[in-house]
Amino acid sequence: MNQHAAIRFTLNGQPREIAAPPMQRLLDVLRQTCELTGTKNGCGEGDCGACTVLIDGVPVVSCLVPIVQVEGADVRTVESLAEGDQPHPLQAAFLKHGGTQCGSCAAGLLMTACAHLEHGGETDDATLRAALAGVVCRCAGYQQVIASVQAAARGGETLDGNHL
Amino acid sequence: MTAIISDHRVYTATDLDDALRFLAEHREEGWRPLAGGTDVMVGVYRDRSGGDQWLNLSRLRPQLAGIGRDGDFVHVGALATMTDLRRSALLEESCPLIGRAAAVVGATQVQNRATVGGNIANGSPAGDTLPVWLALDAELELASVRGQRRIAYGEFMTGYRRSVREPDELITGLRFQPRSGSTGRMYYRKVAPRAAQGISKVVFAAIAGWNDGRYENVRLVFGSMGPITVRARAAEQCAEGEAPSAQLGEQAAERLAADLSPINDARSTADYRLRVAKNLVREFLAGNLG
Amino acid sequence: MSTDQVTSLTGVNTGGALGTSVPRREGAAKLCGEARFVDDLPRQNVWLGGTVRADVPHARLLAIRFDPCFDWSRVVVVTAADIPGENVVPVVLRDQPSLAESFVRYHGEPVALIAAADEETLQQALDRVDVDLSPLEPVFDIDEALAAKVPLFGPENVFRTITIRKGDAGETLQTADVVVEEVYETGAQEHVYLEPQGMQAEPTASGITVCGSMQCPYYIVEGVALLLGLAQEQVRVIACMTGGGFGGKEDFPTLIAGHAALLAWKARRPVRMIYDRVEDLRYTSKRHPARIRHRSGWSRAGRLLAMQIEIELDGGAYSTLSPLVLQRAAVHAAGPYQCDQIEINARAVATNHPPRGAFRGFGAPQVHFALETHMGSCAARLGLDPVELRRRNVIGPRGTLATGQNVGEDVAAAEVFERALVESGFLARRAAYDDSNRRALSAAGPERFKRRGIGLSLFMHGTGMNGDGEGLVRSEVLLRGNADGTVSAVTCQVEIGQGTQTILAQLAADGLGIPVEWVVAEKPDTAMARDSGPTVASRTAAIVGGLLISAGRQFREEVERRSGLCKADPDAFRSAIARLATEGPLESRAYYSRPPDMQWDEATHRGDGYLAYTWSCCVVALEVDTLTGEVKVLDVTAVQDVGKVVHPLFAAGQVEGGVAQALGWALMEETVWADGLLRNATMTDYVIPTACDVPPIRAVFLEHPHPRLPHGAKGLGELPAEGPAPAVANALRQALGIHFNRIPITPEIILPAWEDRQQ
Repeated sequence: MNQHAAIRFTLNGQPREIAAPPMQRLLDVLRQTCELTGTKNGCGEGDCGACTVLIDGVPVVSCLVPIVQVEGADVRTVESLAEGDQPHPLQAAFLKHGGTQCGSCAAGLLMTACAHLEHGGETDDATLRAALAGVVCRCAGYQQVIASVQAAARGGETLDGNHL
Repeated sequence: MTAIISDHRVYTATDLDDALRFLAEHREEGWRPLAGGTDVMVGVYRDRSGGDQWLNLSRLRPQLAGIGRDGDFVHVGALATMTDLRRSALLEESCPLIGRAAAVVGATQVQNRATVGGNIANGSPAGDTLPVWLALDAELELASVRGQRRIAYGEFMTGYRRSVREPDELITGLRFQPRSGSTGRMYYRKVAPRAAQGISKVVFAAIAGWNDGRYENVRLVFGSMGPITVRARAAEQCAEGEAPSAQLGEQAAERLAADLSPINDARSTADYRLRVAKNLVREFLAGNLG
Repeated sequence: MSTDQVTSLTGVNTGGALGTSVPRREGAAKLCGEARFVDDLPRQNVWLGGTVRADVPHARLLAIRFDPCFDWSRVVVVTAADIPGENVVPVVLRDQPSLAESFVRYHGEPVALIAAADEETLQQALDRVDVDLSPLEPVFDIDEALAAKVPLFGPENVFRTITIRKGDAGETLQTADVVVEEVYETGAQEHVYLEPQGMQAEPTASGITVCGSMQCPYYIVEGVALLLGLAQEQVRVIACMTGGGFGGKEDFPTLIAGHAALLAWKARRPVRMIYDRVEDLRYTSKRHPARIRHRSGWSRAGRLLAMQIEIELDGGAYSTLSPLVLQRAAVHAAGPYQCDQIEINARAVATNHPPRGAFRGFGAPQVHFALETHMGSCAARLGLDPVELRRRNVIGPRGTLATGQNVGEDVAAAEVFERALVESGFLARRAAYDDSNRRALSAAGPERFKRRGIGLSLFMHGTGMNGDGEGLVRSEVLLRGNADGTVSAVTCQVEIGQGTQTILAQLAADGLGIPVEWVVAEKPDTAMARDSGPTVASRTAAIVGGLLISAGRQFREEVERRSGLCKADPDAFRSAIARLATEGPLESRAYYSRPPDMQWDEATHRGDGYLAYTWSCCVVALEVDTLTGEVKVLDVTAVQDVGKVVHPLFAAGQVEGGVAQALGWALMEETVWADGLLRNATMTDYVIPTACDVPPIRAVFLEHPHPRLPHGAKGLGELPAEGPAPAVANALRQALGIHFNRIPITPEIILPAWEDRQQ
């Protein structure tokens, strides 16, 4: 086994230094090394979007990012969304409006939607469908997903703390 | 299947000079450039293909990701991403087909990583942006420690995933002369198995100059219709100097088979691909598209 | 009922939990990334398992060779010779080995298993195994299989034959005014649950524990016990959070659970097996491809006089659930129409494809596609409006289905049909599309190439398992009072996304008469729960939920009797539960038993094929680009009678998801096979609908409860996936004037058909 140079990056606001094979997928580093298993491996070739995380604020599929290219980057995963008991508005809206069923694509949808809203994206039906097209959901048929993102964008989605 | 990833080696170049020097020094060792990784990583993990030595270009982005004017040309750096192409006002004004093509490469997640140079170097017959570069008569820039050379994009690919790039060369960018809708007619269409995130069955980019109601410098370019992105030259010649008409469309469409060599594969059929190509060319030249 | 009627997510819901959209129990955990799927469990000390597979579709297995240059002491290897018990995957007929011994019957059939401490060691070991096979002639075609020149199963290569007879269809067909005969074909479909198959097994002092992604914990208890030669009590199965199932995790997990168990048993340590997506696409089960021939006899006035239906399913290399899928297909084949002369002949055929298995709808989507597309053809032949044709023949309250079952007073076929016409604006839109299609050629721009159509389908779905299946399983549920005054609902129903934990809590709370928040839906664990049956067949809310209501009522009576409380306020009642639970076990069980009025003869297929039926009409509007043959679905309206809506938000979610999945099956999900191997075995090439492919979907619910179910809920999970495909075909008939009788209807089929028609 080769010795691997350390990769330094920021993960959910915390500095991390990780020794990993340079071509190892960010997905595997997150799930195995960092034990953040909220990011899911759905297909391993960038087509399902379940493993979407944000790098420097933009959504990427972490199965196609070699860890060597994460050096110096700011990585955010689904685990970063809630603050303590306070859900992110998207999480609250997804819970209330049916945005998740089996939960396998939830992290991908949430992170993609999060970037879209943070960048001030439009929230009409067509724009949201295009923005979310990189994450496939096999359960929900997308309508309640779209409704959830729109509700989050409208604001005012709150939940009792004990729901999270 | 699992990649034996601990065997893979990566050199991260500090800048362009460093990258070129590294490629020159290790010319015979099979190191391959790694840009956005969206094709490379699929090869490494799913197919265990592409070798196991990678020249990481991510630190070259400040040098190679720019999009700007270069005299009469517009210049696009090789590390510009598909998202960069979509967002560029200059490109929208210089040729709106570029942004349209970039917008249908995978989905947002892939567009944020995939690069112009990577798309070109990967040379997939189904590459979504490639027909646009060919239709624009774009020139590629290849750099090495031996210097820089420019070649027409049309001369870059020599066969299925084969190109004239030497092992010590890096694609650094490309340039083209702006084309606006007012000076001609242009059209882009990707036909894929679904409305988003699909691999092309047929990609079509058409750009034609417009002179006194007649076509000139007609470019009819297809992807997924052969081993490389290809111009339908016989159809182009047919249209040169002609006014748009249904009859012209029919005539040109009949000449497509001379240049296109679609195949049956798991994604579509040769018959379907040719039918679509004919329909698109016919209606473009008839003036019903674009 | 609309999804807007979501009740408050906060505060205590005191009664009336049934029919309100209470928060998803495990929703927050899923949305925070904290829900644990099997591959999310801690990896420390867990070895990883992989499968050595045959690379031809049909062969004699000669030897398995292990490269002597590899240090095999680093890994654990299991072949058929290592199986301590019976080498079988028990589903129905027990013809499938867990590991091939002397024959290989499909490309990718497991031959050996390897476990290693890490992924790379595992891969290196897998790379160093060679399987010596002597190829035999493979059979992939139904007709070739039926010719039985190559023996695969029994004397005829048929897993099961079913005949259903009502009257004498043959005789009536000879005298009918008009006879319409056509053949319909449907393709294999992959489930594409977003979480691939995965299982982990760990030997314990008393036996073995298996946890993972599954729908049916007790199937796995049976399978692992047989394989390891253990008593069922020694096998504990725990369902992890399961990332989608759709039937794909009904029968298949028994195989992979057995493999994980074999490796763990030999390695004496925990072993995890997770399929990667390519492996999952290639080697797990698919929806049965079907070939269905309809011969129907009509009076000139459009009265359906006789139906002769032949059904052939490609079951693949082993029978798995094919005998039961075939049965559901046969019982549903004549659809929701009144017809007195019916003959249905159905066969499930063995081939060298990977074994087919359960998939949402379980044979019914195939026969509904055939019949509802056929209705379109019949209307055309009779020169009648297909709307009017259905009106004249739709089954009513005194009607009898093909098996002779009287459908009862809850039959809503006519009502869902009429409602769907109204909700979708069907007639007006059909006229408008006819008009715009006629004028298209004089239009400018892209409109010139667009043709539009609207089509519908009318269909039903039987609740729960086939025939007397529920009576044979005899499901059992338990309610247990806890010391804090909450009540645990103990079942082995698995949360696969459909909302089981939430819905079962609602139903238990309804029976108990307590707030839903006070019910704990326990996670499925066979050490705690007796067999409440598989999480399949749209039975969870209908059957298991019904049992929980019954158990809840008993529980309440028991608490009232023992505490002396009567119609107490909720808090007093909760205190009573807490007190009694502290004193000793406070439990209530309910068992399923066949309703006394239900008759079923498995030998003749006469009687009540199902406990009850749900009814639905689906309307699809679409647009075809005639330059490319691409189809854009514009919108879908689905009206369904499900008896009782337990959770409006989830119910709408089931409809929307089912419609999306069925649109994929109808239009884009094509499995491409070469020599028995799926060629497009990636999510790049086996495409499923994205957010841009799925149109707005309008779900409308009617509620006609069935008296055999205490709460009236007749099930919902499968129904929505059964109507869109024929509605698509019927819409295309209007758009293009072309009748398509096989799916998927891809642009590769549409474009040549359209262009040939223009010649």
